[in-house]
Amino acid sequence: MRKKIFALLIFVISALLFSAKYEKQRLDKNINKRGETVLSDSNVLVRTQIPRLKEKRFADKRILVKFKPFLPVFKIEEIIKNYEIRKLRKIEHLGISVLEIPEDKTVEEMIYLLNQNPDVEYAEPDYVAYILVTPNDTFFKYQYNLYNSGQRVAPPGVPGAPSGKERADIKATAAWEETKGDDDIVIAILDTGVELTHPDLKNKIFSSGRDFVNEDFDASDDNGHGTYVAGIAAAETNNSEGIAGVAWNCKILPVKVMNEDGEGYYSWIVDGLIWAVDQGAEVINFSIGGEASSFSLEEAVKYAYEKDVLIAAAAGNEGSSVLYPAAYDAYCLAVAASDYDDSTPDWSNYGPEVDVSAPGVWILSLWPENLTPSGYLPYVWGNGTSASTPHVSGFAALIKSIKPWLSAREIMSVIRYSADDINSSFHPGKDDFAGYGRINMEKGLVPIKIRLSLQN
Amino acid sequence: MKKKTLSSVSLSAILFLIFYPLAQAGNSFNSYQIRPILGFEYLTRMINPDQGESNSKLKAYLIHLGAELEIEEGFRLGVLIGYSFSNFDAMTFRNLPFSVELDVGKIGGYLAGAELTKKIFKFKEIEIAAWGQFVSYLGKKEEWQIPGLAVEGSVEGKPFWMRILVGPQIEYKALESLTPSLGIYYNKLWGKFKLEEKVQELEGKEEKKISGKGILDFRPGLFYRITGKIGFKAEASLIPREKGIDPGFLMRFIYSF
Repeated sequence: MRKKIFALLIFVISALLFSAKYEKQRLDKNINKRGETVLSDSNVLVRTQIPRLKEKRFADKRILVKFKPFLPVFKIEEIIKNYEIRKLRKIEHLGISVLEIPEDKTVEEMIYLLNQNPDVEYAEPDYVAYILVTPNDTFFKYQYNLYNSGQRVAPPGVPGAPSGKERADIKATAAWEETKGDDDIVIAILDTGVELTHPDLKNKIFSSGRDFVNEDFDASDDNGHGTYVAGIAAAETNNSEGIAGVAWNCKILPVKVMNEDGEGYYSWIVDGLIWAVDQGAEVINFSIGGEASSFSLEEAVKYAYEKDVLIAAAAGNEGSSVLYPAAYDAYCLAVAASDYDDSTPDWSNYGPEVDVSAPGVWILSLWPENLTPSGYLPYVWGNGTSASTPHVSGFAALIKSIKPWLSAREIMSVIRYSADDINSSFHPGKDDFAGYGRINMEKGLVPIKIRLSLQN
Repeated sequence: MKKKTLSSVSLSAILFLIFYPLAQAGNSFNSYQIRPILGFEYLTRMINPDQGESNSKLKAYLIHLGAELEIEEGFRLGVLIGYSFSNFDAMTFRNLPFSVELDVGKIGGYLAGAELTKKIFKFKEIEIAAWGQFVSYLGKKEEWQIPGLAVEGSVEGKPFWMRILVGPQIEYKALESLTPSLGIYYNKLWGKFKLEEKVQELEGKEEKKISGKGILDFRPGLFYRITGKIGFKAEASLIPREKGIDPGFLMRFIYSF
């Protein structure tokens, strides 16, 4: 296998937004410019969406049977003979027999009959499992935040890149089985703007947006932060390029309320928020925040809430109390950070306002091409609750896509209650650090199986 | 309101099936022959909730007691009551705050119904009768926990279904104690499954309309006279539908006074 070279460029943009640890690492293009060839590992994911085959739930003529322990072999043989079934093989470690049923019997009948037999511990169909939706985006394999198989979060050439912990992710692939979002659903990114022509985003832009910093209708990004955030929420997905976004089909409305230094006045933010709501955005992403509470800002988020617009806002990265507007508990979902092994980074802000957490460490996303140094691809790794928040925004957009009748308040509750309590061993239940826990899109979107054994 | 309407319709249908022929029978009351019935039926039916994309399968076990009245030669009327365990697994409810899929096994419920047989034609040893049956299942309200959420949550469900079978039944009466038969019926099954969800302050309700796939039911059967007074009836049920057949069977002991 060819070995290609990756190089690392770490930016520290400490002055950005929360003046915190916001690290970015670029993909080296010294060898090649585009994603599919730049990576030395040629095993890029090329599987396309697997069609859902829910009609077929189990094998037509095959069942799994476990006989009671210590049942003599001759007795098992006798049962098999009596029921006219044929033994195919045995799963030795578990003592489960794979059996073929007679032609004139259905699986249901055989299961019923065998389960009446006192020598049978259980009999069940040989159920069918399906491959989950896996997008073909070149760098999807580094997006542990969407699907964590315990992989390294960056190529071997990137120093310091850790490996993830299996299933410490937001269960995006399972959730995409249910929905990939509706292109009528718009996520407004109130930030430094968005690169409107980024190859992994240009087809996802709802409009050129509004720039409240320079007072025009071109919300292009002159900092990079907004593009990075927008990419996590809804980068173009399954386009054989770059990364996957959480909300495949939903649109991005760029609203520039922060200047090129990553600073913005509350008046810009209030204006931007009202404008985005009036443009019809269903979800607003605030990967920005300030330490000061403000009546104007609170009124603006209340305005959005009353218009049934969901706001996801970053808790902040100082290891202290939750910033505003995230701290407006009644109107916003405050998002803390989790990492590749479901731990909470110590820099993630905390407090009773924290609702949920989402991956915010080593998160790969987009970077404006015009801000990317020559020789690098327009993608970066970043840390911060800025990265966590668009996961929640994307999730909210997916819920709104398939359940448009739910109010913003109800969607907030679905996101909270479907979370996985990742720190339950030392903070069981809702806590100040991860809120209800790390978001779990599968539980919030895919039908939950109600089983008899859990009956009251 | 809907429950009352359903009960009224079911009761009216049963009463109609009982009393209309009695009224028609007039003075022949004295000639009644009453036959108690003990029966068991297993049915499977692919159902298509709300005519959506996904199907699920209804599997039901029906234990019933009944009485059949022979009002006049070749004209029989029966009433049935009983209990049924109906399984709606794989039925999915997506119009709730949290979507859920049932995997709860059998749900018990009461059963009531009526039957009518009227001989219409006889040629040598072959007898053709018109046969009709109405059965209604009213499931008990059940509550289940929603697993895996960060908070407590539950769903409460109550199903019901009804079935009408109408069509010709052909019997071959040449044999002494054995009567083979074949019924070809129009079989319509319909109903509703209502589910209410509550997760903290989140609440939702969804009602799924159930509609059985396939409309023809082929029922080869056999009646065996065990003794002079006790008979046993066994019947298979095959309902062809798109991409398959839904099987079932019926067994009945019938006692003649």
